[in-house]
Order: sequence, then C-alpha cells, then structure tokens
Amino acid sequence: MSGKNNKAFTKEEELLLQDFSRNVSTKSSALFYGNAFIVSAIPIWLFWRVHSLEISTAIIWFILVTAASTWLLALAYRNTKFQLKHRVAVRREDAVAREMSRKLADDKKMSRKEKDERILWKKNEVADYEATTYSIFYNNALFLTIVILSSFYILRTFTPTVNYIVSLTAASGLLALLSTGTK
Amino acid sequence: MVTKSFIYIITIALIGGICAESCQNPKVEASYFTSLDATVVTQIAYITEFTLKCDNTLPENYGLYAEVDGKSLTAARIGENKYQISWTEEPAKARSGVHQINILDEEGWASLRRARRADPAASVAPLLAIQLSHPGSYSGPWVNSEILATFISILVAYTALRNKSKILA
Repeated sequence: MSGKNNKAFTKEEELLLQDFSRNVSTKSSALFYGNAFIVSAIPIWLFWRVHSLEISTAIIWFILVTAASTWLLALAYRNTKFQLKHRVAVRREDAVAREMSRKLADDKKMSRKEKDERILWKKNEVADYEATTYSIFYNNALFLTIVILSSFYILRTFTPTVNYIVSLTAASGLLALLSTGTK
Repeated sequence: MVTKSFIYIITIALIGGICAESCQNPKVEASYFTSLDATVVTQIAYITEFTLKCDNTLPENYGLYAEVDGKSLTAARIGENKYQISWTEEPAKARSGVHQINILDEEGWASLRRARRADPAASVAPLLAIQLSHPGSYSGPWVNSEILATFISILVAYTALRNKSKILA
C-alpha cells in the first residue's frame, strides 16, 4: 500500500520534472531531427532547379549546410515546443479532464488518486503532442518563408552558391535565435 | 454556214473546256496545325493541308485560292491533289476559335475579283470551305511562380505567428 503510494508520488514528481526540463523523449527527438532534415533538404531542389546550382559542383556545401541547418532547426523546434507546452496545457486541461473523467467514470475499481494521475498524464501527453506539432509547423513556415524571400529577393544578385549558404544558415540561425527568446 | 457551225463548235468546246476545268462534286480531307505556344514565337502560324477529290480529273496546274478573315491567300500545291494554305498572325491579334477558310478555284477567284470591283462586300459561293479550329496559344502563366510562392509562404507564416501569439497570450 505504502509502496504504491510512493510509486504514485514519484510518478508525479517524474511528470513535473519532465514538464520543466527542456529534454525531449527519444521519439520526439527522432521526430524533430527527421523533420528538420527533410525541411533543410527541400531548398536543395529549389536551388538546383530554379537558381541553376549544379549539384556536382556544390555537393560539399549542400552536405555541410544541410547538416548545420538540421541541427539549428531541431534546436528551434525543441525550444519553441518548450515555450508552448505550458500555455497549451493550460488551455487544454479542462477539456482533457472532462473527457478523461467521462471515460473513467464507469471504472469503479480505480482509486481517485489513480484517476487523477491518469488525467495528469493525459494532459501532459496532449500538451506535449500539440506543442510538438505546432512547433514543427511554426518553424517550418517561417524557415521556408525566409528562404524564399532571401533567395529570390534579397540575395538575388549573388552567385547561387553564396545565395544558398547565406539563405539557409541565416534562416535556420535566425529561427534558432528567436526560439531562445524568453517570450 | 460552215463558219457558223465552226464557231458553235469552238464555243461549245471552250465552254466544255471551262466546265471541265472546274472541280465537279468536290470532296476534301483536311488536317490543320496552329502554333500552341506563344512564349518564344513572334508570330502564330496557321497551316492547313488538304487533299481535294473531284469526280473529274483536274488539269495539271489547277490553282486554288483562299480567303480567310478578309485575307487573300494562294494555296501551295504540295502533291497530287494536295494543297497547303498557311498564314501567320501577331500573337496579340490571334484569336482562338474556328476560322472559316473559303477556297475558290481560278474561275471563282476571277469572278470574286470582278464582283469586288463593283461592290467591296460582295462574295461568291466558294468551291469548298474548311474550318480551322485554333484552341488558343499559351503565353505564360498569369502570375509568376515565385511571386505566388512568396505570397503563399507569407500568408502561412503570418497565420503561424498570429496563432503562436494567441497561444502565448
């Protein structure tokens, strides 16, 4: 009995710790890096086809810049997600609590404490998922807008190689920088 | 008497000759081509080729003339009973749709000229008429693709920013 209580208590602590830490689970991390890689690789096609940047001449730059951009974008995803998670949790907690209570109302065997724990867990999961997906959407939208604006308008007169390097590093760098802001 | 009958014979022969010159019961098989791309060309080309089949055999140099959209053209002979009519137009003036090509033989053409001298709006029944359908030429997209991409990406980014500030509010 006391062991069970201890376990429940520790689980809450665990959740709290997870909440306040900027670390993400392996699954989230894989999602972030995978997404960041795909989004960083898309402008390669743009530069190859539209700005006539030959792949064979610029392959080294493609690899380096894609790697740097992937890392910076993943950083931006993580930070933005952390920023959003609490606010999303606050917004969604009532709805989640209602739905979970309705679901668990019929289950008479579960103690109140366990029900509360499950509700808390579900709130965390929902907020985590929503914050993750919104962070990815937000950063992708801004990244692609900045790349398009800088490659077609701002850096128009530069050589395609310079255009590529500066556009991508500026876009991902800017997003990573913005994501570390306090607000 | 002999002279009179001689004159009659000559006249009949001439008339017969003239009648034989003209195509009896004309049937035509036509194909056409028009320029569909106006992005790199300076003129839109209209070309129609047709094979003329008549009940009678046609003389060696059977010439055909055409009138289309007020333009007078000569048909080029490209083979046995095969003719080609072609003309070009400015891309801005080229209209899509059906162009009626009225084809006349030499006789018809001469009578048309005679009629036009008296009345410019006169017309003569053509030997045959070919319809050339021009579907219109592509002269480039209405909106440049990079402008469209910029506009859409700005719209999406603006939505994302607004929603984020709403969430963080």
